[in-house]
Amino acid sequence: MSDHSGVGIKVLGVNHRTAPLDVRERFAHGAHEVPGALARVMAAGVQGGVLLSTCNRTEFYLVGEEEPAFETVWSLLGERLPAAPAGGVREYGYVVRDREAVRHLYRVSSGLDSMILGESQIQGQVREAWEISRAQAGPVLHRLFQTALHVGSRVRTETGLGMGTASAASAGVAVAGKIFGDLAGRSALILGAGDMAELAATCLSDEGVQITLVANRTQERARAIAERLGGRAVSLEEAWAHFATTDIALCSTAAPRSSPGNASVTSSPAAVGDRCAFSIWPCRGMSIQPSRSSKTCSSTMSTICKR
Amino acid sequence: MIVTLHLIVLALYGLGTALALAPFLRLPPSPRALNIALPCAGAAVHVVAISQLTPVGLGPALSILALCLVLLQLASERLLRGSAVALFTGPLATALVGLALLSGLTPGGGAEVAGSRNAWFILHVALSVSGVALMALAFIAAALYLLQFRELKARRFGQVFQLFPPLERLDQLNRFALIVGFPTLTLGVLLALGYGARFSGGLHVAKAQIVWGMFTWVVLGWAVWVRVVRHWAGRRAAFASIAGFSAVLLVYVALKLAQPGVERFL
Repeated sequence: MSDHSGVGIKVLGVNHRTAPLDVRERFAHGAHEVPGALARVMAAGVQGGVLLSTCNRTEFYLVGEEEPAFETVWSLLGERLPAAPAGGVREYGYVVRDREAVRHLYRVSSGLDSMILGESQIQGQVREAWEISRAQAGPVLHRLFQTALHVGSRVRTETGLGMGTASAASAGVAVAGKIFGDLAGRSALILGAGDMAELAATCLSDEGVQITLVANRTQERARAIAERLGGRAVSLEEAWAHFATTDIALCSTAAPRSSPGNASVTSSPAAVGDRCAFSIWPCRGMSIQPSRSSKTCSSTMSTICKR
Repeated sequence: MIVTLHLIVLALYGLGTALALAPFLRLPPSPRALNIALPCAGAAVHVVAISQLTPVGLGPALSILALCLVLLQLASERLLRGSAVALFTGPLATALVGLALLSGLTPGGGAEVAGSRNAWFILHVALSVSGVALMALAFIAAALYLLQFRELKARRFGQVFQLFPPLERLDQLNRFALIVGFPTLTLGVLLALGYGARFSGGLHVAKAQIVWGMFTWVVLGWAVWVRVVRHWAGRRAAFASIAGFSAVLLVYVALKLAQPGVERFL
């Protein structure tokens, strides 16, 4: 145990409870950005660090003195915002220390702290974060992450937490069922070809949804998913024109310009007709846009669960 | 006998309503079979009671309306596999049967009672009341749609999410009820005109009834028109249905307040 200024395990981060979607998106670090970010924090005097960055959380697990490492983390995150809030970046974040920090990681790896309670993907994300940060983690965090993964596995196998809907993707599909009723025979357009997109597309396909198009920046990955699910691979630019002809649009991509706002969809001239459209954005905390578009899509499309 | 049968109907509908409301009051849900069996039994007794009624006056009309609502509830339950429609139809039918009992189920004398076995008259009552019940069903489907939509928007996956039917089915139910209900109601009104001209020596209604009747017909017609011709759907159509039915309800209550009495439905 340590007092707040001493050496110990600390967690600094933001998650779906503390920061809005736009902020979380800006704070998200790709795998290639993690070593650089950690190196900067470690240069401020910490002995070990792991950066866990998912759609819903960005958390620095650190071992060492608080100052000036905390300042470095906040400024590192602050640089990603176009304009810092009045109270600084700390306004979006939280700090957890020592025993509570350990407990926090255990809760995270068990899916207890997830937006979708008990979702299973987080365990793989914790493992991935640990592996990416392996060189900088240090012995304390190595041990902590090992036990956290073990705890996560035990919680999943020894309790009923993992039963039922346990991922943002499957929850999104369940909500789609509450909009359409029977999903069989519906068509879906998948934006993105990452793990989340593939999982969600598979969930949809299992419900009888016809995956017609898979759009992604890299065509090889899109082609692989499209072939497996019986669809066709297209580029992101080509995908917009097909929004009006598909029932479900599933957007799960990190490409900054690929997430469709209402404007992108409604500006498509094909987005006219008397039909239901529904988009699932599993990476955006299951943002859902059901629309019963009539002559003008723009007037009826409204955002559900955007934040 | 008629009153006794209606009291049994009241008890069965009341119990069915309580069971339908139970999950929303954090009580354990009852088996689906029971949720269907109670209104079914109530409707069966109700049919026997109505077969003995003279369909003239406020009480009998309310009783027939209640039966139509319960039959539509059972049909919706069968088609949608959702008990949510009963949340509205249950209390409404129970209240209507209660009101019918309070208003009195036996009509006085008069030409209408004498002509109540006329096929035109029976058809007029059946179609008019069915039309109103279908409009009520459109209103209920619209209300359920908006409630479900609001819950989805707020990301609340509670009882409403679990028990309400999917949005698209509610939308279809709303569309069906409007499209079938409006012509049915119109036909019922036309039959009343025909009956009046042929058997009653003219239409014995006040000017206010004609004016406001036309007004509600236009409002309901607008709700159907935007749905069918303008292809409104979803929330906009739901709001239109609610506006249409609210107009019917408000005008009816206003007319009954202006011209009280239980001898006539309107």
